[in-house]
Amino acid sequence: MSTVARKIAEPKVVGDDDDEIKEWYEGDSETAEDAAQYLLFFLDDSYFATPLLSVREVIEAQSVKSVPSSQSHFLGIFNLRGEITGAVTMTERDRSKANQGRFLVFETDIGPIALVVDDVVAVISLSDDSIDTKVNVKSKVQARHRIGFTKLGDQLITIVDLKKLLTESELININSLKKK
Amino acid sequence: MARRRLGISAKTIGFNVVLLVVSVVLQLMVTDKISRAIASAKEQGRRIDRLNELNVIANKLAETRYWLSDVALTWDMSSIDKAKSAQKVLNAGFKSLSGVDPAAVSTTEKKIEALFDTTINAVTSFATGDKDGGAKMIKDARVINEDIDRMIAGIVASGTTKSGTAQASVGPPAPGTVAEINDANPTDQIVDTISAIQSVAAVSASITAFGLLLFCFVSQRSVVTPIREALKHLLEISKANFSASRSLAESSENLLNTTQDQAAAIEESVAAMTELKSMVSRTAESAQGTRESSDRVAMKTQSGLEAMGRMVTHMDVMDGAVADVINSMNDMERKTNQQLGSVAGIVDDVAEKAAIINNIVLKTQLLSFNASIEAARAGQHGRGFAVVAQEVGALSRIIGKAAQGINELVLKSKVDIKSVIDDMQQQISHSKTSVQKSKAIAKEAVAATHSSNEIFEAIALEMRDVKSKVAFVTDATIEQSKGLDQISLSMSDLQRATDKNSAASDKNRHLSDKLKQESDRLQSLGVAMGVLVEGSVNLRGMGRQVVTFVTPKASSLMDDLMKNAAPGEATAHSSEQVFESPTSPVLSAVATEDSAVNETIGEDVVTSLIQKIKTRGVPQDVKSSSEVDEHEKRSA
Repeated sequence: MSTVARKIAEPKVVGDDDDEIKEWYEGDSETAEDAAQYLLFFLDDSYFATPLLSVREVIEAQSVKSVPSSQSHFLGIFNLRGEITGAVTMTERDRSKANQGRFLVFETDIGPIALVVDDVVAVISLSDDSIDTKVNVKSKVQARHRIGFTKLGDQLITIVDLKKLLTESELININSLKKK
Repeated sequence: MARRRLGISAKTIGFNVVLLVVSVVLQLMVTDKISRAIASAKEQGRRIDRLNELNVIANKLAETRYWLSDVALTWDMSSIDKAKSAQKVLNAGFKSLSGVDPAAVSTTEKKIEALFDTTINAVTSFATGDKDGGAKMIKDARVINEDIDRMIAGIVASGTTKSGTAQASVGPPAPGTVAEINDANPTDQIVDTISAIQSVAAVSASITAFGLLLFCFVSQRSVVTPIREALKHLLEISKANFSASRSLAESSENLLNTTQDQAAAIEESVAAMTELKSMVSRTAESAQGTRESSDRVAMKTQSGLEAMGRMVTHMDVMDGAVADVINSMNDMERKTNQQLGSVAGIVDDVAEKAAIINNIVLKTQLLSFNASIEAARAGQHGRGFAVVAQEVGALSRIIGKAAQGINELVLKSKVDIKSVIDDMQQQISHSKTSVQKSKAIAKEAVAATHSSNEIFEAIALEMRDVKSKVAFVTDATIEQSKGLDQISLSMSDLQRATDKNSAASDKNRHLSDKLKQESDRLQSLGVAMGVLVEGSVNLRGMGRQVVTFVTPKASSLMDDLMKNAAPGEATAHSSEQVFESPTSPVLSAVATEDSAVNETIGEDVVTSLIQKIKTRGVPQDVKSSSEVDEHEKRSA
């Protein structure tokens, strides 16, 4: 039983209660008009969220073939149903843990890229009002791909934009690496 | 010899007194006729030789008669020889005498011979107790003596034919017949005449003495001798009586003391017997109690033996049971291990299944997320599907939670099972060691039980032995008790007999005292009588002491002597005399009197008593020895 799997199974992480999780879905249904759905995930002891539609699919961790690269957060490539897909991390990540956790697959100009996360927690609905975009707080995540922050219970959740996770040069570099 | 001499001298003194009287008479007669004697001195001188011869004959005759009378008086036959030697000289004198009728001489000699025979016969008759014969002999002797006197007178007359008549009664020639003396020397004649007168006086005195002697002899033979005989017997009897009665008194005193001591000892013995009897009865009770106790012990031992037998059986069963327990414990351990192993396998299976469920949950979650994404892409049309996807996700979370619970339970179960197995194995090993110990203890117990069983069997055997012995002791005690009863009866008999003895000996003592007094009186009476009769008392043959009293004045002296001498003699010799010379008539009488006492005491006891007195002289010892003799006699 892996640690990640246990963390997924444990609702304590987001409130340690079934009712809390239920609340999130109910809240989603109440603010149906002006609310958008986000995918809540867990990485390096922190909760993150990203718009649900920016994610193509969620898959289990795959065995990644590492490719020599100058970019520290590029882990390697893997075969996703015939497509060469690059695997990246948002933070400094131990490469030995590359094939653990979940892969959030999203589309880019150079093809699909998978973000390696520790766990995918839930699908939540958040209104725009609840997202504070102005607050400037120090975070491990770079500000360029950060949309804003929201609070869920006691937890502060960082909302990130996956399309802005990688710069143009990074994408080109990855693409070149994919072609090799 | 001394006493004979004394006796003779006493007689001689008596004779001399008589002789003196006669001589005085004769002297008077001689003095009257002395003038005639001087005148006829010459003629007398001539006859001197003749007279001398006659004198010799007369002397010898007197001597012969004297010795014969001595024989008659003293019964001493040795005097016969002296008489015979005197007779020989007399016969020689007769033969040498001239002018005498030989026929008269031979007749006289024959008469003298007859006098000898008669005297000897008289003595023999008296010696054999024939007093009448003796008296007759004495009469014969008197007749013979008279004949002899006549014949002597005849002889003398024939021998002196020229000198006139001889005096028949006196015998010697009378002074008046000396008329034919014719020799010249007047001085010689006077001297001769005086000597002749003296001779005549002597001869006449002798003749007178012979007459008196004859009278004495006869009177003695007829009166004094029987009295003296009786007196002698009386004195003997009284003497023996005296010492015997003294000894008897002492013996009676001793007997009384001994009897009293014996009575006291018997009383003590009776008391001791009573005590012994009570002790024996107590012993019997104890023995009875011991027998009952031993019976109970034997019963207990028997039941103990039975219990031990059961215990041995049970212990054997227990030993087997312990072995069974060990076997079953081994089985149980094996089975428990198997079952716990299978439980662990089941738990592992459950864990495996739970892992599968968890995997399914993860996949379902992913599916629900992707469904949500697809529903969001569908827009307004995908709204319902989004709800479904959310519900699926929720369900998968619930299932995941349940799977997590299962997983935790499985882990916990595994830990529990492990601890259970460990505990159980510990318990089982502990139980095993306990059971092993139990088995060892049970083995020891079995061994101990077996040895206890043997000990109980030995005790049962011993108890059987003890029972028989106790029974023996009880029987012996009963027999002892019976024997003691009999002894008690015998003791009371003995006590009665001793009481009788005591009374008899007391009476005996009184009688012996009286007897002593009587014998004292008898003795003094006899002595007095002897003094009265003979002027002396010869106590010859009455023990060792001989007392001769010369004069009647010695009577008081004799009394003193009897008082002083007799007790000493009795003390020194009484016991030997009494018990070593049973031929004494007095003693036989005493023995007859004592026979009533000796009947119960026994002569050997008395003898031993005397022996004790003689050897030790301590009455206590005598008493204890007589007691011992009594006990020995009884136990025999």
